[in-house]
Amino acid sequence: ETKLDMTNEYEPNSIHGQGDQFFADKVAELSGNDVIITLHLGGALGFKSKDNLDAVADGVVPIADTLGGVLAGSDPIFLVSSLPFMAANVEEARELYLAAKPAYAAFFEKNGQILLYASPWPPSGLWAQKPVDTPSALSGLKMRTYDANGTRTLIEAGASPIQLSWADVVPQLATGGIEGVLTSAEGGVNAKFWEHLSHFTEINYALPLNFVHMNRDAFDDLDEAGRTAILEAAAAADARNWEALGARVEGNYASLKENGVVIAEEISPELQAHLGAAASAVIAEWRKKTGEAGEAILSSYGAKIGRNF
Amino acid sequence: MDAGVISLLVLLLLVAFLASGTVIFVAIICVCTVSLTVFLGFDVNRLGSTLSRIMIRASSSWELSAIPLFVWMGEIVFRTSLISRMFQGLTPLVSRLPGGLLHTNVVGCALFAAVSGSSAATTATVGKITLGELRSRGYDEGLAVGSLAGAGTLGLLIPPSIVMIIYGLLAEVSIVRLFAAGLIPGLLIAALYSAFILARCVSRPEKAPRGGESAPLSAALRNLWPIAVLIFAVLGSIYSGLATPSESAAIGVLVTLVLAALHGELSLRLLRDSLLGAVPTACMICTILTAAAFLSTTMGFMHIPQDVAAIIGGMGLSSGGLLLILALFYILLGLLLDGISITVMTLPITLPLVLAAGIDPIWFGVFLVIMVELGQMTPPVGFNLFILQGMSGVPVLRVAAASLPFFLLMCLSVVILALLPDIALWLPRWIFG
Amino acid sequence: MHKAIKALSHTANWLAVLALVAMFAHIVLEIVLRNFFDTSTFVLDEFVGYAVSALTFLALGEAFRSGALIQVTLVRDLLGARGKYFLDVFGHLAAFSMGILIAWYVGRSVLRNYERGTTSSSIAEVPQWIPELFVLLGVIIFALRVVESLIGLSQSGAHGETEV
Ligand code: NA
Ligand code: NA
Repeated sequence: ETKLDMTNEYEPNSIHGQGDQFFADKVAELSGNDVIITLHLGGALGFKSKDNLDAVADGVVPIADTLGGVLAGSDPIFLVSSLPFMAANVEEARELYLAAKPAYAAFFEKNGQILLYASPWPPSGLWAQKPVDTPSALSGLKMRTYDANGTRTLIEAGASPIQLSWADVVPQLATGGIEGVLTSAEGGVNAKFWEHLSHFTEINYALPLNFVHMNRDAFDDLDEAGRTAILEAAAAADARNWEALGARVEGNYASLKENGVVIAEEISPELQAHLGAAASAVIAEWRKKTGEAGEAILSSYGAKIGRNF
Repeated sequence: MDAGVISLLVLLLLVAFLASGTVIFVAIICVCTVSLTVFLGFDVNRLGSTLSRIMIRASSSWELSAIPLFVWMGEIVFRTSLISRMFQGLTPLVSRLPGGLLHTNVVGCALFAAVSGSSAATTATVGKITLGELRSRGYDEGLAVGSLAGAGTLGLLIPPSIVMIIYGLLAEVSIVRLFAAGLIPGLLIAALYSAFILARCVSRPEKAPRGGESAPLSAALRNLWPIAVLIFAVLGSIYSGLATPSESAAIGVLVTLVLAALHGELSLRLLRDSLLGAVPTACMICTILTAAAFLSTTMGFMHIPQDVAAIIGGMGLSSGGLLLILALFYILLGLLLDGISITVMTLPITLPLVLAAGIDPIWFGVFLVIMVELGQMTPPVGFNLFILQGMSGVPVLRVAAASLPFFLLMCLSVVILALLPDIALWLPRWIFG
Repeated sequence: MHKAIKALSHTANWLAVLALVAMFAHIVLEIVLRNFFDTSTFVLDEFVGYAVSALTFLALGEAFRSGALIQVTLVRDLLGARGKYFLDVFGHLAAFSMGILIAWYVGRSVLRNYERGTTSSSIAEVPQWIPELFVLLGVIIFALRVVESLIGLSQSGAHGETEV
């Protein structure tokens, strides 16, 4: 029997927490309880996403679930899933992931690890006290963003993004220190945003990815059956997570409606164009940084969804 | 070996290392390295990589910044006339009350708890301000230190509170409702503490000097305005949305510096002395917190909190029995672990049990925070004990003995809260419906 | 040697003071920017985090020397001179070995982050070896201070009272 620890900084009820639990259960089932994965959620082991790459490389923890954005500090290729308005829906996000997957896998291989699966975040939108569906509604809106690209894009778009730690978001909303938040419907459900905000505008800003990666030596140390169990469970978790996203968003929307949040599913064509233009600088900069590797992903992704980059 | 035996061994190891007189943060790290090597077979590479990663991560946390900043604020207050004026102002107000200035510990902590989200910051700041003054006026050291150890933990229960934010996010309950639910229980505990001091000093009058200075009320108010300005400025900055609770420490420093300037006491020398005084204290607290993070990582790798919580889950208890067992479980975990670790490690297992037993999650949040507060007062790892030894020079175990009555009073408050859950639940219902 | 350690340790302590002032200034700046200019430094929690860790470790050498790092003296107080000496040597060796263990692996991380060019993922893209270098320096100075104190301990021998 082999026992493996797995770390994830997100909560048990989050989409990634549940996906990882599914993976751990599947591994136990497929290996006939020969490989047991103990999941440490909510950062209970003391590691944040930004620690995971080194922690797994050094064999500190054999398996980790890591927010893609923090890996961008080691390789900008990881930003592709969080670039603004690259994928408009779950299907496109999945295609983008598949197009970039060889590059992701190669990165982990280079760092002594294997990529097991990736799971998407629900699409991020704008939480505010009003529908943010026109450029003028966005103008000057003081809101919390979650990454550097979001900050740059929203500055370009004329909003006033603010950086805050997630724990400070609710106190700031309660006291009116900020007027809005760029996050998914799910993020708003978890933190009960309806106590402070009335509208969620679906702009489908991005569907960022989390990556589940495993130490190469720990993997090789397993017997044939154990390795097969891990890989099959990973494939099953991958399929399950993408599959579950649609239901997840529906469930989140139902909670929002139950709590009186108005969901704006359409934004004006002007805002669409305005946001697209605001995002172009960020995307251009990313293409410059990643060069050929980035272009290869974009052209294969573009061919799949019929768009030209 | 099962979780119970291993945790007992870790506990014994920790007691031995601490008793050897090794610097506390080193002793904690040693226990972790020994435990990981012996129980889990970590080699030196895995050990060193884990240790260094946790040292870097745990020390570079934004939430931790409140500690050095509030410690600095305490040093400034301590080195200016702010402190003597505060005590001159308070003395005539409390001189006829048995216990006298000892009540400033309780009231000071309750007020300070309303601006700070952590108990370490509350204890260190109020301790810096009151302990020397109480000692020089001949107050009983045990009562002074014990009441601080107890009341300092209110930083977690009276909003804002870091542990409550983490509980709220994990349990998916409203953070503002949690904050509201903590207020009355916090005040109840403060009232119990003051009542205890009162009763103690009636039966043993030598514990607190009586009478002496009598001054008109107007003089008292004149002396108290600077400290009132400080408290209201920091509170106001949070509740107006100007600053987040994590930022309130910087506001505190800023207002203190302005007050010192208004009294003509702001000087390079004051800045230098207060900074040089604050840095070693902050270093002591932060290194111990960092070592404690490594201890919690070690316990996590050994699956101890999860395993024990799962055993409790298998017992099939009634809601009353469950609460009793959980209270014992959390008090035992509190011997070794800090509050945030306890919360994130056990909640995934205990919360479903609690919900299944029909216990209100908001009420359980308050219960859990009080459990965490109890852990701050218990050796071998009790942050308030460490901080108070650092502040007063009174050894950890003497501080622990002095805080025992306050520990028991807090346990009593949990019983009251279990019998009358509305003490916690009434205020959020009244505000938010 | 003794003078060099002292100078190093004092400098690090002043850097820790600087870190405290820097975190104060950064938070005040952030509050002003957010409330009066509707903008942000965008890196508050990241930079304040670096400052807290720099403060914590850079001050460690001086905090150790001045006795600010607390210890449980209950058992030590009960012992005679030989027993005290034995415990003190034990405590110093424990502190030294933990210091070296941390320094070695933090050093490895600093080197790796330098070679790989790892940055933070914020708008500032801070090379990660820089904040980790402060931790490394602090732990090395701490280990030096421990060695220095251990030498003093062995010179004063089993009979003298020792200052930790
Ligand atoms: Na508080
Ligand atoms: Na404790």
